[in-house]
Amino acid sequence: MTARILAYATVRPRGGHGRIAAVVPAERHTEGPDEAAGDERAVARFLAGDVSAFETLVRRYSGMVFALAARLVGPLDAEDVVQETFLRAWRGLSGFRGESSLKTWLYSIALNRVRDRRGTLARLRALFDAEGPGGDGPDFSLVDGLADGGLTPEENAARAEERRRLRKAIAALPEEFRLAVVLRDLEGLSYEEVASVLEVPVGTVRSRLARGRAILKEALS
Amino acid sequence: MSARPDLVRLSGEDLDLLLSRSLDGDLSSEEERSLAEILASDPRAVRRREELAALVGKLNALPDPAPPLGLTARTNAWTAERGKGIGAVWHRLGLFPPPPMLRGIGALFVIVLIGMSVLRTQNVRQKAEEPGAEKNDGRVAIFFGERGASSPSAQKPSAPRAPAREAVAAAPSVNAPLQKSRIAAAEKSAEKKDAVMDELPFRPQPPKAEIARSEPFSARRDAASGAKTAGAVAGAAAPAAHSESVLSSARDEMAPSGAAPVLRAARAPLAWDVTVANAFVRGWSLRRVAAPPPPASTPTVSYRVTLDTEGKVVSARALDATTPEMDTAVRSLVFQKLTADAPSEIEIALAAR
Repeated sequence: MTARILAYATVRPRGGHGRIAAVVPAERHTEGPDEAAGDERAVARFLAGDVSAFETLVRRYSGMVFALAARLVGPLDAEDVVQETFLRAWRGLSGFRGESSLKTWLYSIALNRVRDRRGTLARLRALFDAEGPGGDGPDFSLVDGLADGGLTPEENAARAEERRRLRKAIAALPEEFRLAVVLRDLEGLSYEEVASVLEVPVGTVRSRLARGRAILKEALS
Repeated sequence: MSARPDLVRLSGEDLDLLLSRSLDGDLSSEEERSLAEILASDPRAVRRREELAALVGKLNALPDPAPPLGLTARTNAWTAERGKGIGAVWHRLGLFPPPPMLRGIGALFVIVLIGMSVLRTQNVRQKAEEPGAEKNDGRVAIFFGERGASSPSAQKPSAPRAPAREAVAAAPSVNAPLQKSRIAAAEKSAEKKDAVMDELPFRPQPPKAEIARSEPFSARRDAASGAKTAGAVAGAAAPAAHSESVLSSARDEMAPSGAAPVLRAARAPLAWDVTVANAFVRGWSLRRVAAPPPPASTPTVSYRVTLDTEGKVVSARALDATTPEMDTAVRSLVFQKLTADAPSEIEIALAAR
């Protein structure tokens, strides 16, 4: 487990209520065999009518879905994506055949929600002639700018700048390469899981990932 | 020239792919061995590998955006709330139909309902537009005789003869005694013929109304007897309530002319269905008939008639082939206005029974 202390605070542009600043350790989610069996049991219980079993699934995967959504649409819209994702999961859980893991199934749903939302946002931006999708991407300045006590202020600033450039380069990647890089290098999915989420062959994932990394390297050099 | 000519020199993209897979531990042992040989012989590949490894390290080091506080609770509450309603009912039944399917089923149901109502409306409209169509609304059956064997209504006993005679006798007329005796004679004659006619098969005969009007009563009686057809005494067998108006019409015709068209040489229909077309049935209904019934030359005749404010027929235009007698009968009809805005021109249909 990689222990990180993160600060995260956003203010919703609409709705009037701000989120409370959260300082929480973030960890990469890795699925084990026990967890998969637990998922199966929870799904079976939910389909048998036990609604509380779904809460278990939400508790287990909401952070993971939020992280993916935040990377793709930004922290402001990520919570909406999470809620839509789990609502779809609620309604479609009977159709979950178990051919892939529940985690990758949820990632697929979240990715579709992200695409829908990005399409809507792109149309709104085009309508109001605002900043296009090729901008800096989601704003992670609060997350990236968190100071590390072991570094000098100059080093912290340089690291924050480096992260900002990296996120900007990721946001500038073509969609197919960006999704492969995010799912593999940021979310930590295996090639097979990425292929399952993106519904493409594993060989395609390999080539997209290599190409995306190469573009990133050139952009940062 | 390479120091190891047996090694295959990879292009930039292929090298990137191999290096990328190498960093993820995706290479087989044979591919690892090949890559190690390439790295040992190509410093450019070594540099690319180091740059790529640094990039992947940076990507892995990017902090995850942590979920806001209460995200799980909010998501659970939101999902449970939105999952309720119709969806929750399905869930309790163990069914999880996707919302688009439910919307599709609902839309299909609405389309079927609309289609059924449209088809039903069209059917009703088609029936209303058919000229010979039987209409339930506004149809009035007028019974003119009793001699048919086919109609159940005609097989009723001839008990109403006495009331009919009383009705004729009570009718105010200058020729009342004469009419009375003529009717009595006609009834006697008809009773004589009843036995004969019951034995005879029905044979349609040409109308003899003109003869009946122009010849003396005895001649008419003889002619009728000679023809041995199914003559009927007008108003002599009136089993239904409508017969009163028929008798009245017979009296009305007899009084001014002085010649009673008592005998019908031709086979008169047992009844005429006078139907006001659906479009006008709310405005007018048949009130009475002031003329004797014509013989049935055609089974159905439609007329477009113009009515005055009292419901009397001002003009009648036949829409089908008809006879002058039928025209006369139609002009004798009197209608009753049901609504103030009833149109003056209506369409009626007469169907013989």
